[in-house]
Amino acid sequence: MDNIVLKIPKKSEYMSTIRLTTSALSSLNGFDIDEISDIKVIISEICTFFIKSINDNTEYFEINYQIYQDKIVVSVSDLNNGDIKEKSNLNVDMSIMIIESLSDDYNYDLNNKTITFEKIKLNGR
Amino acid sequence: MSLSIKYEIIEDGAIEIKPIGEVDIYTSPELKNKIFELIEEKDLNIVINGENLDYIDSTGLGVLMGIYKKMQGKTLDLQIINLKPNIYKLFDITGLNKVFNIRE
Repeated sequence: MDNIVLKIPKKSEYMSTIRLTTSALSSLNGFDIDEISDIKVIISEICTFFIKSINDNTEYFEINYQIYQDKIVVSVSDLNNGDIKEKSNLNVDMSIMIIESLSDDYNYDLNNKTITFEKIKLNGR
Repeated sequence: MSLSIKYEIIEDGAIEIKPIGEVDIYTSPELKNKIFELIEEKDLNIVINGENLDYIDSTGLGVLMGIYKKMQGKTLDLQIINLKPNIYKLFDITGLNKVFNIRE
């Protein structure tokens, strides 16, 4: 298992960089184009969820990629202070719907402001 | 990749808008502002052509909902065409494929 950590400012202008990095790692690990597209969407929605749910953005996102032969496990932690806003809205609801639909497994550790998802390689099953 | 937006008045008196690139939390305000401006300025039906749209996130979908509501208020039509399969998938997951008039 390879472990890669990306620490990147919590700013919306870095979203495309996060997607590109995630796509590159998934491609290197042999995921097909549809799976890479799903992984890219999931990570983007997680980061968007944190940007919309926690106002503080002075600290970073820490993204941890665990790369296995048959799957990738990605954790996104928002290192900022502040609590997650409880008020639901359409965009946050859609983010959650998308994360849950496209992941093979997911976990919300909202106390530690960390969301983890897992995507299994179809050709590795 | 960022976002650029092209538009033209097409035959049946509608505006065809082509977002080119990615619509996410960073670029979606640009799309919203441009389309809202066109709605106010032209007062025409809108066709969003997704043939060059490579990526959209929930923020972008939210912007499309905002446009849809604004168009409804003006009794104008909004149609979405030529979405790539990876983009249509998100409309399907969120149920927005049942809200919007989407055609191939």
